[in-house]
Amino acid sequence: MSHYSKPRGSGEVLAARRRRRSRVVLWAFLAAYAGIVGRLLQLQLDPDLKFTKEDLRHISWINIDVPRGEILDRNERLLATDRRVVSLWGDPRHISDPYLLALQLSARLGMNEDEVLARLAKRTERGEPLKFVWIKRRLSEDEVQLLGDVLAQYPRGLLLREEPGRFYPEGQLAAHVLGFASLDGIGSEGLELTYDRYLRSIPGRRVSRVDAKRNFLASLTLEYEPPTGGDNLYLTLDSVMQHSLERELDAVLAKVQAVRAMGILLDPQTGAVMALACRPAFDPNEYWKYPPEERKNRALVEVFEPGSSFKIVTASGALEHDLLVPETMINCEGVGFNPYGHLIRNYHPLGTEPFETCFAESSNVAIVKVAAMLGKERLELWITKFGFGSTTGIDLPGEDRGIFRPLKDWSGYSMGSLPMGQEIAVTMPQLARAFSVIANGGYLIEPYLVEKAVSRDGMVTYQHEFDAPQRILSPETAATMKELCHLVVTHGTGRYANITEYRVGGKTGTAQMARIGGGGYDPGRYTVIFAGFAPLDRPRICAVIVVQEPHCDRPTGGVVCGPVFKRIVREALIQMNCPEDPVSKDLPAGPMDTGDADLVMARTVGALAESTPEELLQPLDGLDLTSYSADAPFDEPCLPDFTGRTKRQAQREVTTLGLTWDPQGAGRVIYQYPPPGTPLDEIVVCRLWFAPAPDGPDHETLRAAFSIGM
Amino acid sequence: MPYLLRDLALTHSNIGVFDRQNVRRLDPVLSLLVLSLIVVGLAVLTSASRNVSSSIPYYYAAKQVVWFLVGAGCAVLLVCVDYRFLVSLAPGMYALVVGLLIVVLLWGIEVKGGQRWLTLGLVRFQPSELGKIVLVYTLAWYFSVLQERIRRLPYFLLTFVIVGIPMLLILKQPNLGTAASLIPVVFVMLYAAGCKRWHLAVVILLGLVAAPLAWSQLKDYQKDRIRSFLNAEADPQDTGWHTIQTKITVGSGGMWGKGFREGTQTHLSYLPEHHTDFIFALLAEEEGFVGAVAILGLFAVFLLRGLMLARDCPDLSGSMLAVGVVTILGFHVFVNVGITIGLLPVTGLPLPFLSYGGSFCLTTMVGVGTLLSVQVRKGFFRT
Repeated sequence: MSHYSKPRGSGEVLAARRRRRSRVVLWAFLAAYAGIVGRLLQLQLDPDLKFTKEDLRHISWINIDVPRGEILDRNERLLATDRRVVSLWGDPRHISDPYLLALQLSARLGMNEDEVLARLAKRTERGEPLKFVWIKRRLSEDEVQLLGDVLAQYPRGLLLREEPGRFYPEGQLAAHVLGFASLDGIGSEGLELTYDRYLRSIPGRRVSRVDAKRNFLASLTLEYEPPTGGDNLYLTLDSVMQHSLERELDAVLAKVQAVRAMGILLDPQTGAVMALACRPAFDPNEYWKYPPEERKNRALVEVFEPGSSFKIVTASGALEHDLLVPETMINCEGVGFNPYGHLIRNYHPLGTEPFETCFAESSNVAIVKVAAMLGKERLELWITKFGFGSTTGIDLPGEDRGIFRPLKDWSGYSMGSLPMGQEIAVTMPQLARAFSVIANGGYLIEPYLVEKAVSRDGMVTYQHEFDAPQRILSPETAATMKELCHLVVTHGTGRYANITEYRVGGKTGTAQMARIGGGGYDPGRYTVIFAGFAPLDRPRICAVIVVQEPHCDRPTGGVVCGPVFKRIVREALIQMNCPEDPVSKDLPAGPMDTGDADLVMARTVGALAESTPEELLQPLDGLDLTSYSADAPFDEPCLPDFTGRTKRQAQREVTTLGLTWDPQGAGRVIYQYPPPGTPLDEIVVCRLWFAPAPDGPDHETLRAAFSIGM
Repeated sequence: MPYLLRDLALTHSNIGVFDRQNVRRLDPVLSLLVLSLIVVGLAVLTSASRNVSSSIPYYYAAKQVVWFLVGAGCAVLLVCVDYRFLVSLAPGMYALVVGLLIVVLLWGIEVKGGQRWLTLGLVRFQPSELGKIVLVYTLAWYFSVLQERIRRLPYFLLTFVIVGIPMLLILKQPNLGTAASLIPVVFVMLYAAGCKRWHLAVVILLGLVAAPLAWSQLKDYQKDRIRSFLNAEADPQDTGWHTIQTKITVGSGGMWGKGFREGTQTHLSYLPEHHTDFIFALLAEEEGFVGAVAILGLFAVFLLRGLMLARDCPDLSGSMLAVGVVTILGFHVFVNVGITIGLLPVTGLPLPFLSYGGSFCLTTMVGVGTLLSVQVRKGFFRT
């Protein structure tokens, strides 16, 4: 190539220049290349990702809203749900004349002008006008109609927004139990608060690409968070019972001019609360119209002296320690005595009476004497055992533990006050639990309201667990206490609570209220109580009715609360299809029955033998047992008489009834257990004795043999 | 013919005008580069075909294959024919193209605001595309005739008359991009041909002075394009849209890209024309910096190889052809990529081998054929 570098002649010069210039062009090309690659580096490998980030403009998201969970009662009747409501909001930046607008709105929405103005005038911390202010939330349809022309005047300043709103179809029903969710959908009281984490729905989010025309491309989903929460809550509450409880409480409130009335109905076997109410109530649909005091569930926070109803604790303790039997004679000292420095009085002057009578007549002297037999330590132990001084664990917020001082803080009067329910303050659920102990044969159960929470896709996210409760009372003592409580209703202070169809056990209580802001008691202000359970053999309802500050002639638990208890429990039992258990059947009318202790004890033992504790504790399947018709509760299916059936016939009939059959012998039926007429739902096994007709074993012999076998 | 005979007399006399055997002597490097660029271009076009609803799979790529095959046929033909014979025919071709451009102005088919298309039976084509190549041949003929005389001013100025006639006709269409692509060809070829440097410098200076004059001649949409290039954020939804979106598209590709056929900007029609003028953005988005630089590397080797050929070719007309073809293709690469990465205002200029479009594909392949033809015959001129 050496000839290129040495040009010869004009052609050579030309060629050399051409080569040189070609080289220059080559370098120019390379320079252009360097520029392009440099720019690419800047665009694509920019550490600030300026351009990559801008790509995010082309991503959009939508929220996937799900409503807050519903609340349903045990019969799946709707108590709380979500529905769409319309709210009015404003953008103050686009409202030229707030005064005029306030005038216009106040006329249409029934709001105060100043209130509208104040809302529109709100500013941020830096003094800038807000872009969004609520003017009125949850408008009614009429209000929306009225707003039409005003909205048209302020197309950018005044707008409607649809939002989910909590709705309680039953209005005030169970308002304190349900509580309410705030306007922003946050559980604020009651179950709405306790179970907020189940009820609350967290909206899901779908992040997707959008194309140049802002179309949301679901197929190019970058991120998907499913909505969570919004579980439905299934309560143990029974709307019908709740309704009758509230109706009766309202009635008594009006009748005796009381300040407050509260009541609870629960299943003493499981602790399932079937009704819980506190009057006066509020409407959760418009909760903001009520003062916070009224929205608070007083049934859980109100502590009161239980009065005589507390005597069950001392009595149970003494019976459990075999210090006495119901027929132990006690000198009630007439009108009263003074062992501890203050006078202990009987309401009804009593002489020397058996303990069961003293209990029925609510003798303060007798119970103080029994407490003295028990002693301080054991009294404290029993009060604690019955769960006083600690919360019941009910699944509602703000439950109080009551006021119970430990032994070391007791005063000299304590042994004279505590046994009869003074110097101690309890809550209604505590009292209901204490009576449930007697009703269910000695177990300390935990009241609860929520059976389960079920997510929107049918998964059970929460299930109430029925832990084996602690036994604090022997079955025998519990049975004796039941009978003592029964006597209260049949012959004692609780006669107003007696139900004709069912045997009832209960205890009245009347306590003076502590003076507000000071020691001692306030004369004329009473808390009256009736607590009880029914039917006696196997109680299915335990109820406590508390009325505070009644203004009537005889402000006692028996007179004021007894009838309320009677009506509510009767209705509830009928509604539950509970087989009748009339007083007349077992207790022939007559005053002498009170003293017939042997009879009482005999029946108690019998009842106990028939039902083991496990059986007593089986949770009642309320959903099957309840129905709304109270019309035909008594045509309970009963066991037919099988006498004379062949084995094959008997087997068919027994199995058709859904029972297990247990045949003995061969031939035709000569004897059956349980006897004919026994309600079917109390039977599991049907035993039949067969014998070749006509001459077989003597029926009486068989019966004896069976009794021994038990 | 006389020039051809004279040149033949200077060199080997045993070379025919048409010789199929020349295909065997093709430069393997250049041929493989071209082949790989074609393959890459088709692959990118399959990605660009995603949004096309057509019964033909890979619509753009499938149609482009046909054009490439036609173009390859032209290229093989050009390799077989001695380029000097074609250069000697250049004045006739020039007259033909000027005639066609006039015909287009009178009876052409208007597409997207410009009369550019001529219909010949089934085939539509743009005479302006043909004009690019013919101009290269014409200038090669002119410079090889002039030889040393190019250094004289009248001959130098005549060059601009030769180029000016078709250029004005193309501008009249209006087709700013194509017309502009002729300018660097003239300057680079003049420079390489050995004109006086100050002649060139004065012309360029005059051009710069006349630039404001040209501004007033521009149509509104063209002005908008330049304005929006300078300040895209002023109207991001309308005139600034392309300028912004193309930067986002390229930038979002990052180092390794979003993956083949995974591009979102282009796929979701944020960037229109991503199968033609903005095809490089699609490539940069899906294959990232690495892919973009790799393709630019292929282009670079191809162009530099062409320039080295121009440098080493002893024959002036061959050298001029090589410079001209390389300049045309290089200009397209630089301007197209420059627009895509936001260095230049938006104007319609395709990217060789990658952009969808028949006429330009033929132009490219004819240029490649010319380059290969020069390459094949370069050794014959050894003295």
